[in-house]
Amino acid sequence: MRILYVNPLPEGGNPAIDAIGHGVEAAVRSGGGELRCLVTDFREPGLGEDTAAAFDAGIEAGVDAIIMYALDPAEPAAAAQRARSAGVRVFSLVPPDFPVDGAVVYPNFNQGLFMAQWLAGRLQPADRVGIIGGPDTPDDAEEVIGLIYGFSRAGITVVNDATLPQWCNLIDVAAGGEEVGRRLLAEHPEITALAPYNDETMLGTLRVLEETGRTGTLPIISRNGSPAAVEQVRAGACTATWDLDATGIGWAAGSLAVRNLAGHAAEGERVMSPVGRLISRDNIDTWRPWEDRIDWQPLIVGLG
Amino acid sequence: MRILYVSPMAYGSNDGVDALGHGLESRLAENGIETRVIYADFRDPDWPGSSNDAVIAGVDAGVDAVVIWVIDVTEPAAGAEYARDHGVPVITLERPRFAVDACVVYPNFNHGVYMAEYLATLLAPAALVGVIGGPEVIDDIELMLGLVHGLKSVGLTLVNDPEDERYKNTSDVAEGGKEKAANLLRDFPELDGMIPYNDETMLGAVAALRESGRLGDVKMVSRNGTPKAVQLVREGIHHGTWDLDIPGIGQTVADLVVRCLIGGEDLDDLCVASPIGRMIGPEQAMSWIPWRDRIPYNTLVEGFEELVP
Repeated sequence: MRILYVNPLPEGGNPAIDAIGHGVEAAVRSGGGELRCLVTDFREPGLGEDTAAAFDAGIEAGVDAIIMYALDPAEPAAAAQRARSAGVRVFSLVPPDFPVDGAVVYPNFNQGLFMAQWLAGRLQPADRVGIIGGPDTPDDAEEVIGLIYGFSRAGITVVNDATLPQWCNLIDVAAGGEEVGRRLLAEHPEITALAPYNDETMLGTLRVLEETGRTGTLPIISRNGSPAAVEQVRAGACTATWDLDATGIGWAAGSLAVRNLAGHAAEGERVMSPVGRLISRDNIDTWRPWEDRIDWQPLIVGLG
Repeated sequence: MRILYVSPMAYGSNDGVDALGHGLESRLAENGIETRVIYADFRDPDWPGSSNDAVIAGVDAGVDAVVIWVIDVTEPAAGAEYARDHGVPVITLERPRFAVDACVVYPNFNHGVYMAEYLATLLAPAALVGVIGGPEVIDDIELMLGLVHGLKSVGLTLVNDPEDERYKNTSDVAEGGKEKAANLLRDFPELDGMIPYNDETMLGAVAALRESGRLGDVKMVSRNGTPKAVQLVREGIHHGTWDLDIPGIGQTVADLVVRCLIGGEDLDDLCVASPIGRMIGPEQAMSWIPWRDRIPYNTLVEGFEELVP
């Protein structure tokens, strides 16, 4: 059983995406299969074409299945159709807009809701929250809706509309979080707490707080549970990070593909990824690095 | 090993609640764990005190873990604290606002998104869709948020505010669904699609559509995957019902219990999602398996008096 994983980012670009890939690999290996990777880069133009080319290479190499990450839910529809017509099963992290043999669903809304509830429990009604959204992928949009709803349900005022592009970290790296965070804090000096949608964005906002001598003064919550964010929680600069169990997400995708190829999954089956848990200073000593949660082996790039 | 399951409704009151209990019991039985049940019915006047009493009685009877279906996120806090103070792990359905060892949450928002996506495959772009909301229950509110987001994402036109009382089936029975669907049809006569938030509401909407002569003309999806809804899909009257996989929800809770009791794992406030389920359209309806046939429906043993010294 040979499975191709089309990694949407070169290793080292984002620890959560790296951990997802290693989770996929560990699950496939655990099921008796072999995983090969081809790498694209969602930050570059032409992601759809690059992903399609990876699919075609997988078909040519005779892999049994392809696992992709549907950052753009519309792509690569035609290549996925070609793969399935050639008898190659297609699985996706996040259901795309086109037919696949199975998909992993993220409980983004629930995570946003739980993050907001937790932080709201530590705020007063007079507090004012600023939210920084992401690059408008389905994942980020759903998490932000959960955040907005969660603060609203808890009676905490959010000062900005994080569904608008000006309050979103569209480039999805720390520098983007820094830029939006600087503008948000300047335009809304009444902010007393922050909810950057992910850890990278949070790391950018921390730079702004550091510059203004406000490190550790604002409650901040973000999502991912990346090692860098956990360190900031430990240092007291960030209040909490939602550990979305990135290796568990990858494991869910890999094991779904293995089950399907063994004839033990429903056609088009969708499975939920782990919800994860919140990491704060209260439980930080129980946090385990993603590398320690699975049998973490190198990802083999290429189909040869 | 033995656990206590505190069920929120008396057996036989609600097929879904029963199915969840059987999913929990049968999966635990496969792993050599016995389930005892106490019914702390949330409709009774002594609730939520009865749910706290149930947990405490279970701990005193020496159960190894407690599973609670949380209806109010603040209850049964005292019972859960008592259990944990006695070293008995507490695992809940829904995430409460008090400390537990682990919980299972429902992906209601995702259900709403996928229901909207499915409806979009049946309608023309920008088609007019009316949504009938439900009572002010967290599950239903989250479903509504997913529906609204999903309709917008797929380019359908939501014509009404689902939070408007005129379109909310707060009674949660079919008759209420009929009244609210009639309001929608009266206010928006050009409606192309309708989403009654659950199957009971859909049954009322079918009656309203029949009376207005638009049955089959307005495309509908609803949530739950009840046998009646699936039958209407088979007959071509309804167009899709989202099967929540309720026995699978019980099995998901059971898997956490097994990890804790058999695996010795410290779950440490772990939160896992219940199965996402699937849409039952005309094709799936033909091979749909009722909840009762998916798992063994062993007898649920109530209480544990003989266990108490």
